[in-house]
Amino acid sequence: MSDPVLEIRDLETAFDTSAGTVEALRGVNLTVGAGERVGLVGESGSGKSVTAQSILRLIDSPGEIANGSITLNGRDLLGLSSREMQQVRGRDVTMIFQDPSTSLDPVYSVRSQMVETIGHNRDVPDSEAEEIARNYLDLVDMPNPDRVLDSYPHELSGGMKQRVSIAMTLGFDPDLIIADEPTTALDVTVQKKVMEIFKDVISEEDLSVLWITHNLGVVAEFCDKVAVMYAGEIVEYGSVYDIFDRPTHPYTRELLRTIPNINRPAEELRVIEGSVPHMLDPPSGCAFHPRCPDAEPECRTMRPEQVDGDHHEASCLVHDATEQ
Amino acid sequence: MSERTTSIDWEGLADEWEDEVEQIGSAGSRLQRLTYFVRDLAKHRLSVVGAGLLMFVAVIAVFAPQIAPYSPTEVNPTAIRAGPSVAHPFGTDSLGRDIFSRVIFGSRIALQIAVTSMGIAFVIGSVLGALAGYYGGKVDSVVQTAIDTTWAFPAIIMGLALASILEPNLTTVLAAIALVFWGVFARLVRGEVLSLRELEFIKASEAIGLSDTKIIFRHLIPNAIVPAFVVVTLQMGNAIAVAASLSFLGLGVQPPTASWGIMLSAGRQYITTAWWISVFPGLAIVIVIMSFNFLGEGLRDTIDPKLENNR
Repeated sequence: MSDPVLEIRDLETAFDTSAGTVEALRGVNLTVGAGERVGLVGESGSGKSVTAQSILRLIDSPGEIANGSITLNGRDLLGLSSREMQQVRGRDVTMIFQDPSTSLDPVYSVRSQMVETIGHNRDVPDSEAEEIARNYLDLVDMPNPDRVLDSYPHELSGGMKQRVSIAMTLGFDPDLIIADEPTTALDVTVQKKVMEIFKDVISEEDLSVLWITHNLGVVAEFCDKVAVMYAGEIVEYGSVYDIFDRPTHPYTRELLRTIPNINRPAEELRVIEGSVPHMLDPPSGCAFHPRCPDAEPECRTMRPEQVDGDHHEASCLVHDATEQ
Repeated sequence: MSERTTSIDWEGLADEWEDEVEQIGSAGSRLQRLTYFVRDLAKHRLSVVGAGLLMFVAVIAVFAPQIAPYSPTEVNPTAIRAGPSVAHPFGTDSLGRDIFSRVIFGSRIALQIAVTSMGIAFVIGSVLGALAGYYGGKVDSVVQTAIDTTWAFPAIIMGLALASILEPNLTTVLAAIALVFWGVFARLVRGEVLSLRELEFIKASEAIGLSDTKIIFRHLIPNAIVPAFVVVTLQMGNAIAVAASLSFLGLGVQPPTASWGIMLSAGRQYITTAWWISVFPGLAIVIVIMSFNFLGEGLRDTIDPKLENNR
């Protein structure tokens, strides 16, 4: 394997609140290789977005990265000054957001936003930035890019706005794109089309992507690797085939069981019993033990080893990925 | 996951997108949109009255030397406190100066104070409010405390204090009014910024490495100031009232400059014998303040339809 684009080691991010310290990330290890598409899956509150914000170092006070390292293309991001970090954002790693309705500034035309940000991140004159913008709008299947460039965000539909965001992000020529559920807010047909376009462009440009989602269907279709997150830890990591065909961690199995199946006779939707633990006071031992169907007595007290995030592995005392 | 056959009409979707792009701009050019805005504003009758009167006052202020029949400082010993007549439509004051001409020239001072003091307050308030909202924490505490402190003093007291430290003149009046009113805009913009910064385009601006200065001045402030425009208009009326009060107390613009507040004050001892000395400048003050309020309310209803209360 060539040098990874992103390598996260033992990342711990905590929020100091008046009620106590919330440990949002508790030792995350994750690797994104060049040209790899990694899905980061988990329930709400599992720490997916905090992971993304930590990579960009955009954790709002009172949050703080307490421990660990984040390496992007061999550079230690946590050691950079805030000015250097500002250079990294956009040029090396950038993010696509969830809600297309608010992801563009309503007071500027698409042209001025794209030219401003592309020019800023690529150090090119406006005319060249506009050319790049036009090319990428074309690439995301936008009919009549000039007309779109002249428009204001309120004149575009959600699907179009999201494609403008994608085109803009691609225009920065980053090494890594963090996508925070960029298709969730779109209706399903548009979602599928936007995903297809995105997928084509990604493979064409050989980009690395960290795709944050709670939608396993999206992961199956889009990603090479999957990291399953639970309570601020990655509980299982592996290729898409590993995760879908040989799920090891009980949480991953339960998660897969919840996908509704059209071939299954009508029944109630399956859910995982219980709820995500409050990170102010995470359970002792394995964080999943209160909800785990396979929990053994030792799961209450012993914390399983964290996954390394480079081969199929589950952070579980009972099950071992290599056994299967 | 099982394979399912889906019948998604990709061609249809592509057509739809194409149609959509074709429709861009069908809402009209900038000029047309401005026309729509003016048309909506015109539905609010009182705002038309307000805007009309203000335009009238502005024209008078600009062309004061051409319109006024006399110089505002021209003394006429033969017509002291003369009542309204053809030669002096609003009468004359104790020095025989033509009140009509002085009211006309007074509009210059009034508008100048309204626009300049609110302009200063608006700029200072917007910038400090945006900084407070964006950075939060200590910056926010400092700005908030400053606002609370300035609000502890009524405008008149602030003017009295400033006028006694500095000398009472136009600059002092402008400074006092700006000092009292900047907090209004700072609070407003701060609140807007607090909600804007949760929106994704601001987060995205951070995620793509724009500097704080760019985020604040290019993205936060332009999005946050629209409601402040309404307040500016409404507060311009207040600014004129404060300026007139300071002049009335002799702490504002100094005689012999034609200021409505000074004229009002000069006529108060003759109110029973020469009512015109105070009444005409008083009416001018009332009309201008009312016009600003009418226009401001119309703007508020047009810009934020949620607040609409049909009148």
